[in-house]
Amino acid sequence: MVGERDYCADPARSWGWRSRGEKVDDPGEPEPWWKKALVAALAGLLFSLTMSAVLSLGSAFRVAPLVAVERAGIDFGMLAYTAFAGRPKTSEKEPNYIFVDVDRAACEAFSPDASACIGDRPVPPALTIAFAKAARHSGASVVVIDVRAPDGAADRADLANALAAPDGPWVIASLGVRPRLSDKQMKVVANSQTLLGPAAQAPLRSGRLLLAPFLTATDAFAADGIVRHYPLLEQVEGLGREGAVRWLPSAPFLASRLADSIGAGALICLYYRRESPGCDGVDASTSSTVIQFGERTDLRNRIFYSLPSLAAAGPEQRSIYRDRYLGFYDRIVASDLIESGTFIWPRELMAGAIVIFGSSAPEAHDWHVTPLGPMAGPEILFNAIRAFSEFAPLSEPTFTASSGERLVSAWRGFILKVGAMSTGTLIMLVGWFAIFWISDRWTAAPLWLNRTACVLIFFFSLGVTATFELFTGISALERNAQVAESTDLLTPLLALGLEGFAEAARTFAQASETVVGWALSKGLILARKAKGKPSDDTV
Amino acid sequence: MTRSRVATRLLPRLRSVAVALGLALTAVCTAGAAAQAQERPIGQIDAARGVVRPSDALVTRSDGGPVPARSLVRLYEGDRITVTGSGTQLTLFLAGAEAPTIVSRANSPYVVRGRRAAPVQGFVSDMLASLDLLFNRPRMAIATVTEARGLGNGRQATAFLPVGAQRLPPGTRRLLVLWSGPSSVVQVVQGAGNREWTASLYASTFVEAPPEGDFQVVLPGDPLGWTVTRVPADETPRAQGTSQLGELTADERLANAIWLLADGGTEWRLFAISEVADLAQTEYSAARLLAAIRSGEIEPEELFGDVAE
Repeated sequence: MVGERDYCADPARSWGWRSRGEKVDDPGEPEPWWKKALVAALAGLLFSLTMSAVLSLGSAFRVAPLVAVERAGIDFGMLAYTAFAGRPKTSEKEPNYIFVDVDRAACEAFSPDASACIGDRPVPPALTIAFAKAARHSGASVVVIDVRAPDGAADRADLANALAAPDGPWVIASLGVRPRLSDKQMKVVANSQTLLGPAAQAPLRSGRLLLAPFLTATDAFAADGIVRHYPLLEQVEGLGREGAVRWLPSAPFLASRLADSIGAGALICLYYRRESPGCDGVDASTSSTVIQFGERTDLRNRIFYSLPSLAAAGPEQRSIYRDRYLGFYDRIVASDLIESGTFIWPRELMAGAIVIFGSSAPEAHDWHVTPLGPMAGPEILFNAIRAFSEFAPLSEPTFTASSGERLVSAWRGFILKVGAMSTGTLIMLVGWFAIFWISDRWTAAPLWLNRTACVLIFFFSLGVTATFELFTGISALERNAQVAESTDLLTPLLALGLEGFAEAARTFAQASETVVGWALSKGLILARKAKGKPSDDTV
Repeated sequence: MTRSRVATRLLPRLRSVAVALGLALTAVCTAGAAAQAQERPIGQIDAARGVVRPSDALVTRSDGGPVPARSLVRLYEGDRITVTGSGTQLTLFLAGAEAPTIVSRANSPYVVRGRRAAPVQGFVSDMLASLDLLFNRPRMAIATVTEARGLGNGRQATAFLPVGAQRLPPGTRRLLVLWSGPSSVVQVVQGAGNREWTASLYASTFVEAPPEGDFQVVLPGDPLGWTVTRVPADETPRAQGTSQLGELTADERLANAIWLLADGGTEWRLFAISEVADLAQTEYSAARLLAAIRSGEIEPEELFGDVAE
């Protein structure tokens, strides 16, 4: 093989450099195969490290294009998580989630006039009241009523009576707020009338019923209208004396705490103390909520989406989801629960569950864009509840973060990315070793077999690496989400892919060159034979 | 090293690695399925028909007494379903099964079992399903109200055509729905479970009509929308001067649509306005007419010939 070209990839030679200032015009003593493999793998690792550093710093210091790339990577990560790993864990601690989706048939069953169900009120008060009464004995841990309070005072009073039971599950209903100011903090103002009476005087709790704001915001800096955040707490004006501000937990945050029987009391004493007489001797400042989330009252609580939209899924996807999520995350059409004008279901159906009663009907105007695609409001609430209970709000540097804080954030991101990229590079190293060993040492094999094996091993290694990256990335995503670290799944794959595909392109070009050269020489021989001239082989 | 030596040395190693991987995969899948089966239900009764008395169909849990079988009852590994009612039929959803399982007195008692696919086969199909979920994300339009609403100030859309019955010849699928007011959602409802909807930021949208059967077109705000009935082609009225048999030319179709709007009866207006919209893609006069209708230049009363009335 002396003098023959090395058709398999040799990055050092193909770039024309061995080391700084030293050209490789004179190959001299051929490099050992393992050294070439090491160079190829380390080149990939260096590229990955550079990409990690650039992306992490750019994201921490809010360089818009890099933030967008990282954001897309995190979004892709959540999408991959729901596609591959969003299924329930086997832990008994995890609650199950049930979305009772009010459909038109259910609406019509509780409306005096069918036409009432076509307007912007797809959930009539009578239906909500009937459900609330049935849910009282359901054994659910928390019931969230994701329905706007009725306009009429009599309807409001009836609904409040039905919801405010002294026993049964915790019930969270909408306080009814409008946005006031959305910059760093979420400031909202309460509607003049709440479910429990005039906002300025009425309590926010009655029995097991708690009123909380259902309001989220999109990230203004993302400029894509995707709902990625949900506030933990909201500053509510219009409750009590004029100008006074009261901090209240957002509905999903409250639901996540109430589902935990130990944390529920402390949270209620912290935020609903004036309506809860039993809190007089309780020091809520040491509650787990305060310890876990501290003063994170700003808007930037990126939630980890782990549950797909069942309402938006097509028939095939719905079937797959049902296969995976049955008994853990269910969407039940409300009319399936109605028999002879009353709600009835097997008791075990909702035992211990977090239940959201809402509607995915388009008339409800409660569809939003999320990293997982279109999603009905109640499903976003489920994701937020799960994010606040099983995971944690994903940390991001705030608008006012200092340079030091940003550097710390960048370092954390860098470590995560390097972890993801380096394992992939190590797997590729094995592939490179195989390729260069075959290229240099398997000389007994025909040339075409040698080259084909090189190409096949390369693509196989790339496929294995990408698969490994995806699965370890998904696993890391879940692990990191539990400790409030967002994981960008796309950029490690992208970086690996860029490096890999550059090699693939080079290898492909070289392999093509071999094939074309072989075909031309064969064609030339055949042509000469056809003309009766001796071929070069016989000269 | 010759080819035979490579084969002799490498192939057995590759084979043992493959076997080890397969065993590990099998163990992981089996362990996961077993752990999951203990915690989560593996099926559900989707429908229970012909249950007259509670004892007609019972589910006996392996760790408890019998419970009456009814829809939404969860099913766990080892549950025993007994059907004694002569006309009782249960439709079961079981995870991993491609089709619903029917249980009646004929195949009673029925014992619920977990996934029937082999572990490796189940793993592969699971991976393929995951890839499908990853790359085929749901796509749908989201209706967004862009006007300042405030509390209790939900201005509603008003349909261009009066509500009521409408008729449609076979083959017409693309219908134009016009309204005035804010952005809105238009629903096409056929039967109880088949509902399609379209949202538009503008005061008009095209909806796809079901190929067969009657259906409803519903615009929130207009209480009833339109109940659309399919009628045979020969019952579609035609204006005088147009050919009464066979296909109409584009000009004849436009003339016929205008005649239908003005004098053809209220039940043909949805079809007529959709005809104008369809012709507007190629015919200048139809495009101008549609633009005038959309902009309000032509009032509905003028178009429908109701001015004199």
